[in-house]
Order: sequence, then structure tokens, then C-alpha cells
Amino acid sequence: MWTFTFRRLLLLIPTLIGITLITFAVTRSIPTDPVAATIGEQAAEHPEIVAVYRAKWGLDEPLPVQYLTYLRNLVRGDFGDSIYTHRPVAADLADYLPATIELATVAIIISILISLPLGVLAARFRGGPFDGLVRTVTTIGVSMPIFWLALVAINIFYFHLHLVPGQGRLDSGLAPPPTVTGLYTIDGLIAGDFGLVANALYHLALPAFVLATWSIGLITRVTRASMLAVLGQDFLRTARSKGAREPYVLVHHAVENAILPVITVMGLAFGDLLAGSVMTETIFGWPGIGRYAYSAASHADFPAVMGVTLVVAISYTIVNLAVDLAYALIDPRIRAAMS
Amino acid sequence: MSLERTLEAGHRPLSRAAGDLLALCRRHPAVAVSLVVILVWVVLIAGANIFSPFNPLQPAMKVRLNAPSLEHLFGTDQLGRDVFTRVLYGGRSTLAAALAVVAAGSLIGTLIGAIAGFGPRWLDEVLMRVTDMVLAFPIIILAMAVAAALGAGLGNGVIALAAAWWPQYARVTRGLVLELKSLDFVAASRTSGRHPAGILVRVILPNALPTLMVMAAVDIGRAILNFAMLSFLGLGARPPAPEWGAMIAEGAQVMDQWWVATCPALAVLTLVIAFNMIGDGIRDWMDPLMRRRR
Repeated sequence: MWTFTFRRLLLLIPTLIGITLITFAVTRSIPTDPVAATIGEQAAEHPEIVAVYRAKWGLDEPLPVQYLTYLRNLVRGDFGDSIYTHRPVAADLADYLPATIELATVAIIISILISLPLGVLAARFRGGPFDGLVRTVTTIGVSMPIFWLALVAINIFYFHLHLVPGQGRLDSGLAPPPTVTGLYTIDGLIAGDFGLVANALYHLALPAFVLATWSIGLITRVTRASMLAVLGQDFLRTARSKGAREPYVLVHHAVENAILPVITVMGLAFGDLLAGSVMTETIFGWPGIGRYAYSAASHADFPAVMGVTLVVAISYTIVNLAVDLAYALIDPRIRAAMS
Repeated sequence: MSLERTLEAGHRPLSRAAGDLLALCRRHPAVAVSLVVILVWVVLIAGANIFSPFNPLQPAMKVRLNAPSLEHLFGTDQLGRDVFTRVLYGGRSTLAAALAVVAAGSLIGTLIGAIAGFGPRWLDEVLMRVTDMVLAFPIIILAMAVAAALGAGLGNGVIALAAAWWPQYARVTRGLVLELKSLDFVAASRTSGRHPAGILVRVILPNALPTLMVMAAVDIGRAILNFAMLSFLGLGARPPAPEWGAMIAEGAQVMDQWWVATCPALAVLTLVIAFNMIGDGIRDWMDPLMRRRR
């Protein structure tokens, strides 16, 4: 397992270089004046600011050298300065990322808790009314424009039923807990402030549910399909004929063999969650990188957009790495083949 | 030459494809319903000027935010414009953009995948690594970055999405080409002295085409959803031009007048569901294991 983990971690390096190559290519594809786009129209009118900028990013050098300069600045944690907030993009991202991680994590937990039982039961009772219902609802789920769903949810649950709190991660009177992880639920637990944890969860509930719409649909469908492929197999009949009870057969024999594709799709769903966070956070006023990306895009704040792009791609890559490792952990055959 | 002709005729005649479609509809009634839904939308959108007497852009302040009625089927928006009319005209932008994204994405992807699968090993390596790099980004995030670089607008939105769209086609095409390359009729074509490029274009690709076309057709739903998202974020079509995502964004200001945002949203939802249902039907149909068990 250790060799496998080590090898897989080594593979991360070319992937990360690839990601930076793409973002570098995008920054160089600006059709108008790229310098003005990256430092802002106002700053671009001052020759001395432009000169400093050109020197810092090596813009007078040939392209390969420019890329190396770009890479060096990124490694140092220098993502450039935001045109709109006038702060280093890295500092902005550090402030907003924990909120997004917390929201996405709660959303994926909700998705898994709902999707696995739904998918397993739909497959078990294939063709029945429950299966039909699950298939209909999940098809709607994966086809949903969630930005509209978010608007509807706010209108109903906040404006009309007053069931959920307003914008933000906590009620406006509450101070955030001392920062350890930046996730208010975890930090609240560490500080022993359960009232605060409850309030943070209260604020998380609706955005997380809306964000989970796609992934619930996706994971349920894959779980169902994967279970269908396993359910007809002989080893289940053997288990049953040995007198194992149906729930035991379902969970220990069927689900364990059907879980690999489900884990893969969870990794993919996480990418959807990060993308969906742009919409959900914007509409719910959730102070994460998704809302930051939206405001950056609408203010033509190019360095900030690229910063979010880079961070999202890196997070996505790390999640997929975790998926690969989980694969090896669950399936001894893969472990054997890889090491 | 005549032998080669027969071998090249691997593509199915049109009547056969129509027969397949009919059989598919009979087995999965949902596919038939979905086709009807798509057809209805296409007719409505194409004939927008016939089905609606209103101008999609002209404000009419006297009838601001009217609820749906017989005169205004989907009500009116903040500027008194008829929402039904705007949904139909908006469908032109959204649908055209989605088609353009899928067309451009599948074309680029097929080209890259074909070259990777048929060309020398080193080229395959290079092209597939580039494909993996792009795949490391969630589609809408990469599209957002490209759209931010190019500037907002309908055309730039299409370019931005297409730039993130092609890798899946590159992968599938490469796989198909590698598979077809090893078959006898390709070897026969090679021994008959054909130029390799000719073999790729005239012999291999026609046989890969049906799979790719099905993939592209089903993909349109996802493209609609993604383009609407990009427009909602202000990076695709810009108001006042009617476009479904942009209209939902405008309707977000007046959610108590639910029809303004909900009607274009339901247009997106119904079309995307229809395309997804067709995709499910075809996937079921192509999977012999599933077919047997039904």
C-alpha cells in the first residue's frame, strides 16, 4: 500500500504542472491588452506600475521563461493581486476557501447518506413503484438548473416560511470560533461551543441541500446501476442458500462488490460540487470561493478568476487522488496490480 | 477497388438507423415522449415569430410583471415584455449556443483523438497528456476562466465551453480508432496500398461515426445546462438579449413574480430531462446485459 501511495503521489507532480500549463495558456489568450486585464485599467495608465508588473512576471522574456517565472511565483504562493479587492489573491482565497470546503463537505455527506440507500433499494426492488419514483426524481435531479432551484428554495424557505436563516455562515450577532481549521463546525467543536456549531449547521442546511441536488441524482443512479450488475450474480445465491438473511446479503455481499464505481463517481461529483458552489454560494450569499469567483468574473477581476480556477483544479485533483487510494484500500486486486 | 468499396460501406444505411430508433422507442416509451418534447420545443423556437405576436426586446411599462394569463401565457417581466415570447426567442440563443458547443467540442475532440489513436506513439502520448490536463478542470470552472479572459458575449461563451468540452470526445475517439485499427478490413485497406490518412478518414472514421454521433446528440442537454449556467453568471449572452440563463438571472430580482425566472428554468429543465432520458434509453439499449435482464 505504501509503494502504491508513494507512486500515486509522484504522479501528482506532472498533473499539477499540467494544470499550471493550462492556466498559463489561458492567461496568455487574452485578446486585448493582457497587462491592463491583469492589473486593471487604472493601474495600466501608470507606466511605472506597468514596468514593475512586466518585470515581476518576466513579460519581456520568451514564453518558456515566462512560464517558469509564472510557476515560481505560484510556488511562492503569489497568485497576483486582485483588481477589485486590491489584496493578494492568495490572501483572499485563504479567507474564502474554508467556507467552500465546509459547504461542499456537508453537501457530499448529505448526498452519500441519501443516495446509497436510495440506489441500493431501487436496485433491489427493480421495476417496482419505488424504483420508478427514484429514477424519475434522480433524472430530474441531474437535469436541474440548480441556480434556479436555489432561488426558489430561498424564496420559499426564507421569505415565506421563515424556516432558514439569512445570508452568511452564522447569525449576525455571533462571533466566529477561534480559527483552527477555518470550518466553523469543527472549530466550534474544538472550542466546546455547541450552540455555535448548531447555528453553523442551521446556516449550512439549505445551501448544502440545494448544492447536493446534482450529486444525489448522480450517485443514486450509479449506485443503482452498479447494484443491478451485482445482484444477478451467483455468489449472492450461494450466500442466500447458506441461510444468510436478505439485509445481510444485500449489505455485506452485494454493496461491497458494487461500491467501486460508486466511489469513482463520488470523486466526479465533488468536481460538480465545486463548480456548483459558484452558483449556490452566489445566490445564498455564502462567503466562499464560488461567490468570490462570481464577483471576480463580474468585475473583470482576471487574477482572482485564475486564482479560483487554479485552486479548484488542484482540489479536484487531490480528491481524485483520494479516490484512487480508496480504490486500492478497498480492492486488494488493484493493490496487487499496482505495486 | 470494389472489395474496398464494400468494406468501406460499414456505415449503416439510413433506413436501418430509423428502424433502430423505432425499436428503441417501442422498448422505452420515455424515449418517444422525450423526442416529442424536443420536437415541440424546436418547432416553437424555430417559429417564434409565428407563435407570438410580441417583440422580445420592446419594453411595455403598462403591463409590468403581469401574472400568466390568456394574453400573456407565461406572464410579463419587469419591463413588461412577454415572457413566453422571450422564452421562445431565448431558446434560439441557448439552443444555437449548445449545438455550437457540442459541434465544436466533438469536432476538435474527434480530430485530436483520431490523430492520437492513429499517429505515432509519441504524438499519442503528448495529445493524451494534454487531454488529461484539461480534464483536471471541472468544465464550468475552466469555461469561466476562458470566458473571463475573452470577455463576455454569446460567441465567447461558446468558445469558452468548447475549450473545456472536447477531451471526452478525444478519449472516446482514440479508443474507437485503436479498436478499429486492429480489425481485418483496415488491414485489407492497408495492403491495397492506401495512404494512411486516407485509411483514417475513409475507412476508420466512418465506422467510429455512429457512436460519436449518438454521444454528441445526447450531449446537447448537458451543453444547454452549462451554457445557461455561464449566461446566468453573466459570461454568456448579455441582457437585454433573451437567453434562458440570462433570463433566470433577471427573474432572480423578482422571485415573488415566480413566472419570470421559472418559465425559462422549466424550458431548460424539460429539454435537459428529455436529452438525458434519450441517453439513458440508448445506454440501456446498447448494454446487452441489461437488455437481457429486462
